[in-house]
Amino acid sequence: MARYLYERILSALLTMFFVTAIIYLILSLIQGSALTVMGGSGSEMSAAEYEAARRALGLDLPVWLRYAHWLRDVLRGDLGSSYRYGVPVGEVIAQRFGSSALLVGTAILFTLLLGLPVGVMAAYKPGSVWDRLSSFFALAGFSAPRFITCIACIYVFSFKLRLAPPMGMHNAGNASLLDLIHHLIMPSAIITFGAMGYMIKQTRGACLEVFQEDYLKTARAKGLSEVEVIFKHGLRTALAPILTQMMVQVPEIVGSAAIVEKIFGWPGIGSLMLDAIRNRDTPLIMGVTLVIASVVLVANILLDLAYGLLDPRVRYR
Amino acid sequence: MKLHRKFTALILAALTLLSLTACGGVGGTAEKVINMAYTTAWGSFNPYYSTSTTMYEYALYDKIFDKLVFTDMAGAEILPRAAETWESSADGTEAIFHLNPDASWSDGTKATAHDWVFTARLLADPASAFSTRVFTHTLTGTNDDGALLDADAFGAVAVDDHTLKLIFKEPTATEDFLLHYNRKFLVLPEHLLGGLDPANILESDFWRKPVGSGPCVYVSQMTGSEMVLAPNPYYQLRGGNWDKLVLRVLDSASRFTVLMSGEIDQIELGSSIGPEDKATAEAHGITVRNAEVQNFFMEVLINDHGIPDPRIRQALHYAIDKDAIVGAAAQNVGTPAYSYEMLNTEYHDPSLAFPRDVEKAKALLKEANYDGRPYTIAFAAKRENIAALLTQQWKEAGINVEMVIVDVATMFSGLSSGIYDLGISGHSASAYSLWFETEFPANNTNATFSSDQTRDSYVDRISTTVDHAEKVALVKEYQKYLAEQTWFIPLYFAGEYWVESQRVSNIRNSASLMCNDNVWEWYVN
Amino acid sequence: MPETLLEVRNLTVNLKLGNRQDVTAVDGVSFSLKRGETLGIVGESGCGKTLTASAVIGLLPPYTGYIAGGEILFEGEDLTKKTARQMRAVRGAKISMIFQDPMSSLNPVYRIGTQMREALRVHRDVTAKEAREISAEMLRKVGIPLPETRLREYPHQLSGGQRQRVMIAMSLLSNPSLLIADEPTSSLDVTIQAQILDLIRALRDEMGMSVMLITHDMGVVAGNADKVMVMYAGKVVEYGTVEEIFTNPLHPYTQRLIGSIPRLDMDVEYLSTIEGMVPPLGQMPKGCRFCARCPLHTGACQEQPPPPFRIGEHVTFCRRANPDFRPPP
Repeated sequence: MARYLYERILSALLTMFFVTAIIYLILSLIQGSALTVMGGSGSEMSAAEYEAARRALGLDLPVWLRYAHWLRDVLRGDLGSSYRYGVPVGEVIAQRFGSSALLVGTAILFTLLLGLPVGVMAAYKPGSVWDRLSSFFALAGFSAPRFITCIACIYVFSFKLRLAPPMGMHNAGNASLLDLIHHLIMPSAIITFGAMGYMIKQTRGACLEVFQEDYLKTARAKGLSEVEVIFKHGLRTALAPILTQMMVQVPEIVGSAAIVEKIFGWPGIGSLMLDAIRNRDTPLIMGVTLVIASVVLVANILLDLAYGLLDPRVRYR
Repeated sequence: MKLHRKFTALILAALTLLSLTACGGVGGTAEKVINMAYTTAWGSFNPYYSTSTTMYEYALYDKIFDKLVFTDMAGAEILPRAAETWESSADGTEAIFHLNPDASWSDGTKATAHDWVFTARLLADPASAFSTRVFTHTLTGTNDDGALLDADAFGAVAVDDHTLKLIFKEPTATEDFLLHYNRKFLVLPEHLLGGLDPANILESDFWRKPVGSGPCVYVSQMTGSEMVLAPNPYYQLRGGNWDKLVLRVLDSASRFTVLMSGEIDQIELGSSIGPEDKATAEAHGITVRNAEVQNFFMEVLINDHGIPDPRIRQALHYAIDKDAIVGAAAQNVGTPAYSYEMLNTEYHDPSLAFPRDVEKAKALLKEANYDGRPYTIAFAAKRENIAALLTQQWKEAGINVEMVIVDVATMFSGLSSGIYDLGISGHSASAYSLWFETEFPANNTNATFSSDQTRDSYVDRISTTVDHAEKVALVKEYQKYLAEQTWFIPLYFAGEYWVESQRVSNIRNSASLMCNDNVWEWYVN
Repeated sequence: MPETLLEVRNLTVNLKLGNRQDVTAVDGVSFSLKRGETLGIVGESGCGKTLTASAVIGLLPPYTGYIAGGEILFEGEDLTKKTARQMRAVRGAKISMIFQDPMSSLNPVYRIGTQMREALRVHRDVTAKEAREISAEMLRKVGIPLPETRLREYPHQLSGGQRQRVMIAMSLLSNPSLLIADEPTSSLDVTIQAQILDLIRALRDEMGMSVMLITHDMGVVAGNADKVMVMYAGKVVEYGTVEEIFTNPLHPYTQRLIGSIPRLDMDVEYLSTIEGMVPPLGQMPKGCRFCARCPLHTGACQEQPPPPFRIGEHVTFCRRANPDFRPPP
């Protein structure tokens, strides 16, 4: 077990290295740099100042050397300072990480809470209303482009019905929990809606298989109620493959969260990343990349371990 | 079957809970909070940190730091702020400002002329770590870049605690100076920054929690997303009644919806909406007002290395149907432009206008031996309708242009590096006769047009002419020259509609567009 | 005199098959079982023997199978009249069932001890410690060495034979009066088969319970049952004590079944088989269902279902069994 963990962590670190290197390379290739943004229209930079700024940003060095410097700094614990905001990258990310975690965490929670039961019901009575409903949600959630859903929801619920606030995490001057929930509903619902479809399909598939198994008959023969049979014996056994399917979904959820954050003005690291890209703010982009990559890789490792915990056949070789 | 019922019950319970929170909604607080939204986040708190500080950032600095005057109506109105009155010396080389004696820093210390001099000195200091000198190159005792040469001859002087004198190298009308530089000249506290080494000044903690003499005090922020400000109790001008001013970052896609929902009291730079949204807004009970002036200027930028022959550039100009473009892009709430001088100023010359002439365009192309090579036009997505029309119109004259959608940074970088030949950009104009030049100064590294002596000479002479009639004549001459060279093609001036806030009164929308807000007068109903 | 534990009268079980009409899979089956007796139900696949047993314990496939008629009198009460909740109290406590494939009958993610405790907890209150003790004792009874260790293990760590013993142990935890064993040895190899069957017999004697043994193998029945019921195509074709059935099989089907048991003292090239196939559900002939494959069939057999012919307790449903039967000219 320890050896397995060790291998996984090592491969995760290697992945991290490649991801950051590739992103750094892409950043250097796209038209425009932080310098262009700084020296854009309305600026009064002389040629000398431009050169000086260029050297200060290290843009006169070759790409690989710049990356090496960044990597060296990171290993020392220094993520650099944001070109745009002038504050250390770590600080900016720390400020906004919590909101993303809240949003994505809530979305994942509800994806499980809603997706699992619907999937179970769809597998329990194939062809029934539940099954059709699940197919509909699966397809709709999966296909609807996130930004359209966002804007449509804002239009209907904030604009027309005045039920929910259209942006932000809270109303200024009102830091109550109820207000936070009020703001949280729409953005997390949209992310949930998108992710739920896949979850339902996976659950339905895994449960269809499990529901054929004999041990459900045994459980019924013991005198257990139908609910206990379906959930304690059915879903519980199907949980392992379902959760590992989530590994595929984690990056998708994180990505769609960025769009939702941007449109709702939710102060998370997704919208931070999008702004940083627009401003060509390399240190910030790299910092957020590091954070997001870590989160995804850690989630993968955890889900892997969870599989072992959930299915003892894997644990005891 | 049982399962099904239990599950449905759970969903109903969850929905009931949700709807309760919806009804509960916002708890009433006794605090008067004004919410403002911007589609772009601000950067650092340092007005002199970067050379490309955007309008959004100036709008923020405007609240924390004080400025000499308050401008409105695209520059037609200049009102007191830090300075109560001002005048020019007889020969026009000196501007004297009489400062309001009540001016104070938010920590209680009085703000004096010495702070203004200190700020100017800091900007001019050759060792200063600031990226920009803003305006010091106009003062005596500095070189062309504005770096200090002779401390004794330096053109910023505190005559006494409340009188600031600026001495210019060339005669300069005080109004011109203010229209040009007021937006970017913000005073810094000598008592807090004076002891620091200018080379290390960027590292100071002052920039994390700044102290200014402007109408607001910084309270807290969530970087890139939200900022909370409180009123500066010592500010010299009074009239408002709010307790908290919150600046929030908003996605441009939600701009209109958020404005309509009433969640925000003022959206960046005047709460403007396009003509196409006016009817919808009014249907929602929102009061919409016409802008007093058409001050949004749209132009086509030309990379004159890519298109060196002025005849081809002129051909491009003649081939354009500006009325059609105004119709498509500004919903007919706009006027075709032939120079960048605002229509309500004396600098505007109607004789520069000409109708679309495709034949003339073709003739010019022939004369220039245009070989039919295609040009590329780069533009941001929101300008697509303009680009499409232009391309079509140019095609009729026999010029092939390919369209590329990019973001703003890529467009400017591509224009200066020669990847793109044409670009589309929009700006907020002002009554200052040379406002456009400030957007594209001659030595700008992103300049799309190379330096030109005649042009430089005109700009020089205009900025140093103090006599108004003389200046008007010179400006008109210069505009004619620009029209001949066609380094850029003016498209139109557009007007806007302002949304009036129901909740907050005394907001000057057009002043907001000039990056200053009269927050000290804002009143929550 | 041991009393009658279970009496089934005219049980009919129907299956819903999609949009088509419901089909009858068990048609008017009757039998009885005394305390301490073993009833062997024999027949080929699809004859309805499992469904009959499932109906008794109330485990018909949900949403597809249902009892369409008849009574199931268990300890005097009619089980067909009970609600689902009442049946849950009976299942696992008074009537237990074990299944064919021990490999998949135990849940792979829970420990043996957990699953056994669950079986106990459904029907009575026990602490974890008590559950452990009772389970360990039962495992010892079914012949599993080191039961405490076994309790902590997972099913995949046990062999097939051990797992079937665990299943038996689990089913006996609440001391049921009736154990239904559905092909309990079909998935096991021959040596283990004998052990398991012996175990079931021993436990039956020790605990005084009745057993319904379902199998397709007449050989299993011969050594382990007291009474035998032969089923074909959803109907009972012969019913009697094991001695009566084996010494005097009356129904042609039974005869062929017995004949097809391989014997060590026979020296044959081919095992004898019964040609033909069972008629599909929903398309049952109106006469005798075995008619098409019966060497003794007559015209009368085709027209009408055969009436019962009894010799004491021994009953068969075949015209030809009746010595007084004269085929029509």
